[in-house]
Amino acid sequence: MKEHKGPGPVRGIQIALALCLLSSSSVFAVLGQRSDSVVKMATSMKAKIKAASTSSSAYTAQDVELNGTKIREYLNSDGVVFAVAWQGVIEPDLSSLLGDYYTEYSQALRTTEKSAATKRNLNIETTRMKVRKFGHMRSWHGLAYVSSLVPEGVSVEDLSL
Amino acid sequence: MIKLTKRNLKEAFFLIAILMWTGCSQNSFSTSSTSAGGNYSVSVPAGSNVMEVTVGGACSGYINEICASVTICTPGTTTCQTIDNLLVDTGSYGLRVFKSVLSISLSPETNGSNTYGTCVSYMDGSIQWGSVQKADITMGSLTASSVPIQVIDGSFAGGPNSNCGTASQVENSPSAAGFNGILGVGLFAEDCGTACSSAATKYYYLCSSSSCSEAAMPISLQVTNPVSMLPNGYNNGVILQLPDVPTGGAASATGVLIMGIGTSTNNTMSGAVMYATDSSGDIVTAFNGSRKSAFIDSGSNGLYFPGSAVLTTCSGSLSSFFCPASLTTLSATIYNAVQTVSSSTSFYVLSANTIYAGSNSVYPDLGGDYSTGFDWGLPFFFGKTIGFGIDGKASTFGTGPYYVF
Repeated sequence: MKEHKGPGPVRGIQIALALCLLSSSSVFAVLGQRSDSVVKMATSMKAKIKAASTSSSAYTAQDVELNGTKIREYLNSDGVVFAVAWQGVIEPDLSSLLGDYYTEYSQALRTTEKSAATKRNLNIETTRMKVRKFGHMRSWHGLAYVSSLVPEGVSVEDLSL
Repeated sequence: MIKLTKRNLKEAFFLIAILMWTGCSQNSFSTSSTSAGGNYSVSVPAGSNVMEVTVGGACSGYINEICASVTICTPGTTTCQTIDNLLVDTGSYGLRVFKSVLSISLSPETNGSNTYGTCVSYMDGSIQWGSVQKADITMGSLTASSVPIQVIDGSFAGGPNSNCGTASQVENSPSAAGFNGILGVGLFAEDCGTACSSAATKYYYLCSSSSCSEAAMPISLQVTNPVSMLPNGYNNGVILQLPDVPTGGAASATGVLIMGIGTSTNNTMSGAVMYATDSSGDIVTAFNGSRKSAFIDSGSNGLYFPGSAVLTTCSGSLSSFFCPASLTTLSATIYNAVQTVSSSTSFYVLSANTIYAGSNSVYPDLGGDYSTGFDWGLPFFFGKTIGFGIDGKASTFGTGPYYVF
């Protein structure tokens, strides 16, 4: 039987290290996890992480540039990633970005009714998280966030790129 | 100036009566969902660089679909086939045709000794998988030679590579897609560019007959917007012009796609304003107090924007669309990417319940909810002439990528 545990720093390090081993380009933190372990990892790998200009008193943001795609992660005062936004030529690997939330995201995606409209605009909502994706070829935009982790007073949907 | 006499006073009253009657009928037209619609068109200018495009009528895979035909040939031969019902898409780059509609054989493109494939994945998880092949493409009376195109085929090289997706995600038939293929005539020459030539990505794959693996792909081998390979004078972009259609909908609308911008008498957009995009092809739109990233896309069938604060969303299967109680007029401001040039524009939203229950195929007022950006889809094009300047190509308006209208 699997014990339900909240996301802790040890788990975060495990996931981050797993990502390191899987791909040298996976330097981002995972939605819902602490990011301190990842910053250390990125430093040792000389990856491009930089402070984003949009940090506020309610959160901090950091950017990762990955082959023409910008990924920005937003951390609340506990250092936990409450939202991830991206924009660029190639949609990033969401299984890496969404972490524990990827399964429910992909389940919701599978049951989404497809139409001419959903190819370029898609809203996915699960009980814990929301994903907004839109764009055209060469510019795919996305935003994923965990509602319960969003700091008070932050208009999270304005955090998209 | 008209001098009023008894006789022309009578005529004037008659005219006014007719105008009122037309106004009334238009008015009732705009609120009725069951009206027959009618067919609307622009006048088609002469020129080798002009193609007709149709919304509705024979192009009715879904509401607000826009189609055109091109002729493709085995490179360097007269073995040719005209393919109709191609989605005219300013949101993508390059021609993609379902294998099942091809009756001629093309020439499989190779990278070294390998054939190669490409994967287009969409926001909703659907994918288009297939090989890259070369074709001569005739648009209007102009030909682009040996253009890399995608032949959409879910079974190519044993099916999609796992980095592209699984067989269940493949959009594999014209009937499922609503078109025979996609004619991508947007702001870029290649579908991916340097991001795919400098590193292996999930876009391009080197293949054997039974499997593929991700690979970097030189720009010259990437699927290419055929407009960028037309003869000089016609390869710097396109202009799309569609007629105005009533808010109550139309059965069909016929417009034109003109190749080249500012290079001949039929593609001079005098008085139009240029909106330079960023390097991704995005601009900015301000609506209801906030500014969002935006793009202009004939391949999107509605206006998708952050409107849930001012419009009611629909319920049930149409829940991503807006269902206002009556036709609603809204306005927004469109900016170039660096927000130094702007223009205000008004647009309409009619209940999607009314639209989808109606008998028409063309609506200038289909709107859907998207909270973090503004997609100016096909409804934006009605009654307008909009130019799309290709990245790196110059015109009288400047160097692409840009929109001009």
